[in-house]
Amino acid sequence: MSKLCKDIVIVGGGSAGWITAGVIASKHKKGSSSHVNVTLIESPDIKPIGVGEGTWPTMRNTLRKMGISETEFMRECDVSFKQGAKFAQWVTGEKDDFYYHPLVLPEGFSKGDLSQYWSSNIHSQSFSKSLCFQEDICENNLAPKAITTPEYIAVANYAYHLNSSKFSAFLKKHCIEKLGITFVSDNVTGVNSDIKSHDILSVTTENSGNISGDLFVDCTGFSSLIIDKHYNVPFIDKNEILPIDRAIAVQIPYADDETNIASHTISTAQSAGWVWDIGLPNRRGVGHVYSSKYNDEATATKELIEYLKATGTTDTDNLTFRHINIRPGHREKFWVNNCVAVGLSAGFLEPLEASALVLIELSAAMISEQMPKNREAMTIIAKRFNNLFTYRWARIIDFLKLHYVLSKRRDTPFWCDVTSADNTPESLKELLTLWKFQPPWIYDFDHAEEVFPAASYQYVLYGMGFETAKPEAFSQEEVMFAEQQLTNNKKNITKLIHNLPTNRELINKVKQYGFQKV
Amino acid sequence: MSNISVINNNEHHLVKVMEPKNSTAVICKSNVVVYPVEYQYLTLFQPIFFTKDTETGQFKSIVIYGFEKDENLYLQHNQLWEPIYLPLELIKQPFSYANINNQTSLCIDLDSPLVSTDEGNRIFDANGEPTEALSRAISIVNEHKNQQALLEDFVNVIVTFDLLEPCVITAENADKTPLKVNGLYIINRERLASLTDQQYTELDAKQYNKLLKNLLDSEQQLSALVAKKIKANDNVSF
Repeated sequence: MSKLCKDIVIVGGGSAGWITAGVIASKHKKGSSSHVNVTLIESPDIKPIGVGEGTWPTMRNTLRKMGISETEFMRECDVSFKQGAKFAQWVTGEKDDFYYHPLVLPEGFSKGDLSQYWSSNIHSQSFSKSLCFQEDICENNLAPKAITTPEYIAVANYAYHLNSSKFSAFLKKHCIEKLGITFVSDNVTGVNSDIKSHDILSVTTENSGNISGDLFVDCTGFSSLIIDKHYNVPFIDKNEILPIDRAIAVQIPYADDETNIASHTISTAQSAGWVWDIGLPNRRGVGHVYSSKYNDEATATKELIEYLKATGTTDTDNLTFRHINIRPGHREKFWVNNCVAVGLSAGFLEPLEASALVLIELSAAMISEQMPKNREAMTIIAKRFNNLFTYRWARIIDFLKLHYVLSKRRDTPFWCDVTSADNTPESLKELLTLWKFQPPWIYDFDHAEEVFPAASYQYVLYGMGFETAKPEAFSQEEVMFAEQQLTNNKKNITKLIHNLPTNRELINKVKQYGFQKV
Repeated sequence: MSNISVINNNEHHLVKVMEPKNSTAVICKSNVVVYPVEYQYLTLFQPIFFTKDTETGQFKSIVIYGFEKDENLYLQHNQLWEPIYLPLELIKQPFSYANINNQTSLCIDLDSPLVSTDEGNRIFDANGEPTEALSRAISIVNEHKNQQALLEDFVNVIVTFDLLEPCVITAENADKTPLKVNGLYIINRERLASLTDQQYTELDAKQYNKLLKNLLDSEQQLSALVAKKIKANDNVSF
């Protein structure tokens, strides 16, 4: 009889550790038919990286399933609403150059494609503005819902911006107090594996002895204690495709309590990278990610300071800049034997589309939903996990690369190189060829649950001026359908701009009153 | 709009106040906030629901008179209404309490249609002494204040026990157009039946079980109101 999988040991806290712990523990509760024990070992000495501040809309469901109140989460983790991203100066580099990748699908997307009609008939207005009301909501700094909307329910699809250190601490408290996770505060000093099978039997800790388990989750961040140091799973470097390898992060206070809080991530292209700008309720989180091959630290810092000045920061002398090294890429495999890597130990890419936290959620969801019953089943699930996540990393890399290859900028060596076809993945080249003749659609991708839906590709492609061959004519029926969607979008804009509160107003109301559950 | 002023016999010695039930402007409402003490009367005649305050998202109980803005289906065509029960929220008008400089003061809304110098009852007599009308107003405003606190506590308890659920009223007008009303909440009967003994004890101790029964009973009054609405539209469409 194959050994049952009953004891899950998560090595490492941070967002990865605590999300994985919470997702597993809330599904496999004590008393349920699939109950497993979850133990999390967190080092009291290692602080999490604590930069990732953007989530995807999936986070709403992840938190809801863990039994977390959205109000408490927002109050305790400095949370604001995020309704997508605005990409500035990515196409031409001119001052007025921007496009949106919103979180709401184009109007009527579930019924049919509108990009062809848009490109043939509407020249004066961008794709996202013509077909998605969310751009106007964002441009007006409005919230995605009202105080009367129940928790986790959206008027306009939304994600979050958050303080990631506070988020980890908040999840930790919830996991220990509400979900019955065994917490061990200790340093892991060794990994003990079976000589024959190489399965991990236990991890040795400084003060708590050996902690044994059936499945180990490596959430040890960049140190990759098990997946790298123990199993030596190779790291696949993606620096050639995505050359960004440095980050400088800084926190910026608001001028006063009335300053607008942007309800979208603003990503502004620079000479050899880009600047992220995220509005939390109490401060902005701003950072410059760049490629050290094309830019040095001093120049990159200078560019960041120029950005800060241009966006209203007067005193830039007393700011603390944090420098972080990034190694773009991921493990060759994520699940080996009875160990699966989740979070930075599995890999990292530049935060252009906030893929870090969503990959943690997706990994945790699959581990939890497909929790192996025993060791025999684990081998099969591990294989499937590796296939699926290799595919997902590849799609994210394609999607990030898309933002670069479509740029018309050639003003610096960085932009000349990142736009070159030489370092574009074949999978993306193939799609780009296909999209010359037809717009992105659901058949272009292999999985029902894609990381980025076809709509996201449309937003980036047409936002960046990509041209798909136009049809010669439209039928009466097609024209009527398209015009109806355009009218609906205009109506939605008028209605929502009139009814929605500002992002700041709603955040303040959440603090004061909170959302109702129904 | 309103023009709230702290009452004093110097400024307001000539002020006269009409009774709210005589003012169309006051009673032309599609719904009015109601308080726990009133549930027992209302339940016999009109449906009570919960709705969210648009500013705070907090629940409050309301009695429904109509389904569109300022629609009171109980008003006759001659705009007369002899309500069987007029809610505290309307009776207290144009008076209120306000917290000014950490002191609770009785105020009057000088812009209220009920306030003038030529119609209604004076609030101060010739000697500047409060009239019986003003004394009555004070006791009503006091009661209103107590009931506000009670409603807040009651709502807190039922929200904590997850007893509210959204409900949508759908019907068809006589002219076949759909009638749909959103944003209303009622007591979830299934959830109420599955409360723990300890939760029941808590409801009992505060006598909230009686209020819940009133609320459930009041739902029966909805069909009569919808019938009025359909009939009203019928008249319009012919």
